[in-house]
Amino acid sequence: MKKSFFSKILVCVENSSCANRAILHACELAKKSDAKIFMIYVVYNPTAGRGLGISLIDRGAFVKMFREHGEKVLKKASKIAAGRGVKTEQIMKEGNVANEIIKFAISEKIDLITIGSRGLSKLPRFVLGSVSTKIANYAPCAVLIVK
Amino acid sequence: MLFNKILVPFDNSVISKRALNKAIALAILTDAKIVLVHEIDYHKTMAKIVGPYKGTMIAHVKKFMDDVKKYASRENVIVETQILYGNPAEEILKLMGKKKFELVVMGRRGTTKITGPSLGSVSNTLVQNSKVPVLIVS
Repeated sequence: MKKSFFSKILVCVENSSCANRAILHACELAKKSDAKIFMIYVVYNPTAGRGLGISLIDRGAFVKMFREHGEKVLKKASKIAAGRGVKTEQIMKEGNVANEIIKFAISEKIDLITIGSRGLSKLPRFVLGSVSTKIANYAPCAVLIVK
Repeated sequence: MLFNKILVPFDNSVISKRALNKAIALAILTDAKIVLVHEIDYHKTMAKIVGPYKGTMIAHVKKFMDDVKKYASRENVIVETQILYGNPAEEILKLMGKKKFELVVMGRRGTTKITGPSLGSVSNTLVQNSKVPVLIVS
């Protein structure tokens, strides 16, 4: 058994309290273990024919709105990290949220993904969100699910 | 934010050993104490069948828990051990309600081997119901 630790941490950011706590946890761990932090925001870009409600309004405007929102959220997240003396790299992707996060984790050989247990949809409190479930199930690395 | 007590549900499987390694590394970083828990799935029906072997089971569990203790003490990490009886997920959740842990570190799945990358039943229940962060190690 060898002692191994995290050198690359991926934080999934979002404008929710769980996700913010995930950022704090990641910063703390990164400081202790000298890790590099990647922050990812995935713009949900439904492929044609799917995402029922979205087809009613202009899809381009919808995606643009989310891109702007994502930039804001990433900026805010990097500020939180900078306040704690951790340098981060911001990444924005488009597509299916969980898939893009997992793809990125594989391509960058991430050691740890931190994610809030529940994002923006306010279902019963202790139920895991769909994105975090998918990541916990299929991620190639360790996953820290922050409550 | 820092962890004082880390709960590690442990079943001596390869994955849970990997999880233990992560927990030890975290404990070194944050000066935390590890609480190692093993669950013996022991209920009334089982008791009839394996009753006579309960002693053997406990001895087996104690042995690998002692090994873990020795291993961790080399890294100067304090490990507390505990054996629980009953339904694994339920009992671990009960313990988490009673004692305060800051983090749970566990393997994605334990001794039950179903192919495919998915959470095991115990880890799934814990992730869903835990009020503290859970680190899933694969």
